[in-house]
Amino acid sequence: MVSNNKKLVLSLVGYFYISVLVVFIINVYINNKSVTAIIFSILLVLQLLFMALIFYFILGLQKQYIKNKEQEMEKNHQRQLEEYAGYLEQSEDELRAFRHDYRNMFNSLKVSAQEGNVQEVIDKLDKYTQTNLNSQALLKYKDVNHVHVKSIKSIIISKLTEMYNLGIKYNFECRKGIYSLPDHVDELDLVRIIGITCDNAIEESKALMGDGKKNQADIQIMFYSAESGEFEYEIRNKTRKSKISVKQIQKQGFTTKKNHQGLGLANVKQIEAKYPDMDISYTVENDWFDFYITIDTEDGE
Amino acid sequence: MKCPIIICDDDRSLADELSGDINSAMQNMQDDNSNYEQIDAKVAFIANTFEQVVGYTVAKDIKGGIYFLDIELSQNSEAKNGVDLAEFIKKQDPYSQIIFVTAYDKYAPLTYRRRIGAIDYINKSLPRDTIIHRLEETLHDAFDRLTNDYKAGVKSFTYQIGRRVQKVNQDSIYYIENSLTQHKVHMITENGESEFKGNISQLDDDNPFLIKVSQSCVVNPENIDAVNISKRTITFPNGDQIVFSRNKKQIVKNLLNKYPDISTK
Repeated sequence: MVSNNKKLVLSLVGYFYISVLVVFIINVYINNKSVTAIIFSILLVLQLLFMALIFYFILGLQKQYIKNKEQEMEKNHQRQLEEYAGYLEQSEDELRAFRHDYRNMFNSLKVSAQEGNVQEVIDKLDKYTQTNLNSQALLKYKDVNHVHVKSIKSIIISKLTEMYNLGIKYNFECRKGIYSLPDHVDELDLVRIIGITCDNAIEESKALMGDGKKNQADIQIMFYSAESGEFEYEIRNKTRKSKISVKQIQKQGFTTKKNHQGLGLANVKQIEAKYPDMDISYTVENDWFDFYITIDTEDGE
Repeated sequence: MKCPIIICDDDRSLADELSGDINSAMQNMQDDNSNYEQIDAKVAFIANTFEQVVGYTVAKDIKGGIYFLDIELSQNSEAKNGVDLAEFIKKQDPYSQIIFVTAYDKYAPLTYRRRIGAIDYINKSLPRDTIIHRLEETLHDAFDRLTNDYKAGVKSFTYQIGRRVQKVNQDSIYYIENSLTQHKVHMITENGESEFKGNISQLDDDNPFLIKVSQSCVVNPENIDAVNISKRTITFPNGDQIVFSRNKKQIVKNLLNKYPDISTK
């Protein structure tokens, strides 16, 4: 804590030094040594106490601030997991209802078949297929259950929810279970990268939908983990016709959003620079923007 | 042009139904558009296992086939599936057009793309007339690609993005230059652009169709719009301009002779 607050400590020491000087100078001008000596010693001690108080007070404020931030993150985490649990519970209910209907349907079909009424059987089958088997609910978080790294699961749930609520067409795939990330990578950096790229995709999709091209907005996301431990993340989104150059979007301050600072992909570049085993590629083709990152394990090629 | 259509689904009745739907789709296409009259496409084989398709493709040496595959080819999750089959077919028949007919829970376009390249998908659980409409769309795209590939010859430029092998038609490349990122190059094509690991000298050595015009750039002369010898610039159809180095002036002049379409300003 002390090392973090170098500036603070230095300022306080400086303050004490100036107090000492002031006391000393005043002492030179006043002749009555013994009284002044006592008074000013007391003053100096008070200053010292004051400094110590200020220092610990500020330390306390800092600790509180950090705790608040952590609590906020925990709350966010919690909210997302609750939403996901709610979604799972709803799916459970739907499955139960389906099983119940399934039994009824089979009984009804059996009766029709026993009566030899083939057309009735076909009609009933059509009707049941339409209503029961096309449930949208099971598709919202498809494959999220294959992500077993908490922070990554949390951010992807959050972003998929956002896309769902905005009515943006999306598809998330994670065909193989992801149990861990390559050791040398800080999870939070990856969370940041996923967050920034998803936000960019969502912004572009919102713009497309705002232009009246609702059917064109499309986001595709993939997580992939190879046996060797490498991690791959890819996100593609449809773009508007305005030809964006790959060079431009990586520069600081570039943005297609109004009144926005546009730090996104430049930040991603900064994170990439920290890791020699991280490789990021951008491709723009046929109105699709593609962001693709591979993270090798340290002893990989 | 002969286009054999091959179907594979471990459920016999579904495979047969798909065959019927494909025939309906092709009937619709011929009714609507006489462009496809010269394409002789018909369902050549209906298979139910991985091995059957492999055997047929090899025995008949199929080239330019159109394949409609289910992804789950057996109840056993360890057994070979449609993705493995697609991988085999692509190696065996580079002109092949593959379409996955599958349920939504197996829909993972990016995961399959990194292994076998871009593929078309048809959702199995759609109502019948939507499936037939989708079949018309995918067959239309497959026919177009086949005609283009046969005309151009499959001259592709291959490069790696991360773990994914990407192929692009040589003819669509404008130029490749050093990227602002270390060890990477930046490629501009008629459809867009891409960044990947590479080295200009290596690209020049490995690809005879690319011409090196400076320390940091190779160009595809087929796509050059204009050259300005005094300003030492080369311009491309999208308006991009690159500068070539003094010592490559003669090489560029030779290109002007070889490709009379290039305008000089």
